Amino acid sequence: MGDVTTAASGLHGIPVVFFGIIALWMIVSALGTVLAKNPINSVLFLVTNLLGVAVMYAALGAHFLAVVQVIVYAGAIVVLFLFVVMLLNVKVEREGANSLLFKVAATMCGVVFVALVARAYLPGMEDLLQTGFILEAQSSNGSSDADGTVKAIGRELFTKHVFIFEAVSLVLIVAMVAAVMLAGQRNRGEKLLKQNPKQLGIR
Amino acid sequence: MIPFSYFILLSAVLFGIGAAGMLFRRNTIVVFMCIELMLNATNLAFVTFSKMWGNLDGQIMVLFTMVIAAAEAALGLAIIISLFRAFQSIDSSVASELKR
Repeated sequence: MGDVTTAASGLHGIPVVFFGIIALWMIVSALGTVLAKNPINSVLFLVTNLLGVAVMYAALGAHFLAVVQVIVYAGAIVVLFLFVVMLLNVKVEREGANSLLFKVAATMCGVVFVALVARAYLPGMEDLLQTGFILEAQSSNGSSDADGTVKAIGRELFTKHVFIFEAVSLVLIVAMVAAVMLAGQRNRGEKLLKQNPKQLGIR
Repeated sequence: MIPFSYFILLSAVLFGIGAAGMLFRRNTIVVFMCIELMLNATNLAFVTFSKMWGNLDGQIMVLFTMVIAAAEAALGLAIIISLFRAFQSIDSSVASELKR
């Protein structure tokens, strides 16, 4: 309980052990999302990972974002994923012939990216172990007004960024209408591909 | 006191896992989940930088990213459903009609 209240009070004043446990949890669940054979397991690993991200937001003092993360991601987006996985009910994944080479190359891409970021943000591993980030001193002067409370976020959102806020709501409406259009037409694309393929010039 | 670099490194690791998974999975639903992983990794970096500089703009950006991610998930899953209707499969390698 003590750990939880410290984490929720922001200032990333949580113990390193707590951070390590959550970080390990997130990395394991991310690997599970990628590697699980059954898409249902992938979705469940993904929601675990997203809850870990919410914990990290709370630890960084972004309380409103932590709540929104749980509600929007775990509550809406992942349920949408789960719904589609169960609707389509496809379990067997066919692997290509060049699968192994491709997998090695893809893994190398990820590793190279992590190495690049580590190189850019961590001047040396001794820096990671001892002092951490070189700009750590910045946190002392600005951490009080950067707490993502509902009041602070709302003031920023509806004054400085109000135009983008409205534009993004328009984007959401358009995307919803487009999704209904795409998924709702039951047999138009099917007919084009199945009954009349020559007209499209396919095969 | 956790150094900010730990959060950035965690974000980079999550992004790398998501990017690698997006490249080597064939199941389009899992590919979309990997994209969500990458979006969340960048969101974590945004919040970390926002905290680091004492500026709330990063958290506002995370809100917008969440909205765009929701729109992207809805559209992507609609595309997956129509892909399944056309090919009876959600394997990304079957949708290669444009190659011919």
